[in-house]
Amino acid sequence: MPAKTKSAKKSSSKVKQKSSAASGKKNVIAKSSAKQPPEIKTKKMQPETLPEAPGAGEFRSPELVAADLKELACSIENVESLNFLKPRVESADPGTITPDNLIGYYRMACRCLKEEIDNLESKLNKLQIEYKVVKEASSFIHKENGTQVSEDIKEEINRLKSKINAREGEIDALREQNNSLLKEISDYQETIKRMSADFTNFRERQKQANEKLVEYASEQLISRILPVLDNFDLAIKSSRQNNDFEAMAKGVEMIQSQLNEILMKEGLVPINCRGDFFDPAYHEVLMEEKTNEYQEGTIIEDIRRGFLLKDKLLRPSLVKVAKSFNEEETPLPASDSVWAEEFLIEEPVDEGSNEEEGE
Amino acid sequence: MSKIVGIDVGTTNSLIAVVEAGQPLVIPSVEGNSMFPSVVGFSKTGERLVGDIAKRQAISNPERTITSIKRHMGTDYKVLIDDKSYTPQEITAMILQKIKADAEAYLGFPIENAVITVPAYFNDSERQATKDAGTIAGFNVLRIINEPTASAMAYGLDKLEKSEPCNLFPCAS
Repeated sequence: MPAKTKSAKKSSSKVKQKSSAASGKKNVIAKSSAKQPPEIKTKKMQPETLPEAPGAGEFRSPELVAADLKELACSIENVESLNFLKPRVESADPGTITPDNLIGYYRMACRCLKEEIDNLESKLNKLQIEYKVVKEASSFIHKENGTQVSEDIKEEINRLKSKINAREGEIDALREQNNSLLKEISDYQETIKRMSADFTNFRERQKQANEKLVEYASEQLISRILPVLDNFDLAIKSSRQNNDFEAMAKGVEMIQSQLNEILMKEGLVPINCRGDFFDPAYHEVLMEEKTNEYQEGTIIEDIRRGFLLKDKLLRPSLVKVAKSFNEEETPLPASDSVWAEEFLIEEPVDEGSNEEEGE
Repeated sequence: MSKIVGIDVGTTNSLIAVVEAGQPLVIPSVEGNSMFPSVVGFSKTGERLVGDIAKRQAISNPERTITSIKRHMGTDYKVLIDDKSYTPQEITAMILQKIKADAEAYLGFPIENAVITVPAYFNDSERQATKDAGTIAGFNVLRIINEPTASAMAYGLDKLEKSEPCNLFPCAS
């Protein structure tokens, strides 16, 4: 900056000299010219591009003025910012134009040029700063690039490249694995579909087979019982003819023993419980009797026989169980109703007891 | 994941079912019945009897036999047997234990997760008591379902694609 201002001062001082010279030559224009010059600041080059102002005090013939104008027109011809001045200079009549006018033109040109120069200077300034920055940056980069750092970077790049390569290999392997797994999954899905279809079919068939089995399960047993049926027919027929009750009873007994035998072979076991202790696993209490004749819990009566089919309980025995007779209690008159009343008192809402009472 | 069983704890009978291959299957008791009488008895020797066996000895042992415990669920009712008091939850848990043991014997694998049904009119404490009973019996009670809801679900289990109204008549004792 200081250099620029210096040059501006220099140029302005030169203009001053010029204008003061002009005012010295021509008094008429001295006043106005004296006012203006200090404001005008131009560069050194300006005098070269602009012709010398016409000397003041000299009488200038129209020819000279015309020459001046021509010179001025020439000098501003190539300056874009002075385009506005061109028509005026060209249309000026050398006969009527005063030196003041001419000076005015020059001043205008000067001002415009000065402005342009200022602009250019500020631009240059900016460029210089930018250049400085760029230079610094470039020098920095240069330094960085210079020696070891670039080696490190190269190494790093190589390392990353190899890493990327390794990763790509991994990705490929994984993709392959994924594909094989997908295939496996689809295989399994297929298998499951087939198996579930198989299973549904199997279940249907099993269901039908079961139904059939249940339907004809009694086939064997019935075929074994058929002789019993035949014997009954015979017994009825002969008893009708003979009217012999004793013979008939004997015959029925025989048939019964035959049937029993068949059923025993099938695995039917009657539960003989009279005199045993009550066991809820095989017996069902239908009633209790208060008595001291037997120990409490002893079965005194087998009301309905129970049966086991092999080891499975087919039907529990319905039994009457002894209950110890307590002296303090007043014995109830009807022993059969003891169970029902007690049960009803204990559980008045139980429907089961009512049902059993009905039996 | 283990199988989830559905249990209906009834006033007189209880039953348990499991979904096998998309179809509900009622699991029979070891006695061979599809239903477990909701009866708990304590024999004179102190043995605990549950189900069919308890029902058979109920008449000779009424003061130590408990029936219809469901009616007392969610109340402070206590059953006193041999100077020991039992809550309705505990008695129900005994029934559930028997059901669990029988079902495990039938299925051949342990069961833990269960859904238990309760009447639609059951209030919160009754539902909570039912849930507690399941927990005592060793079940992980996933849900408590209303009985009519369960029936509707069972009815519509194979008719999911159709949408039709249905009337539900609760006839249980």
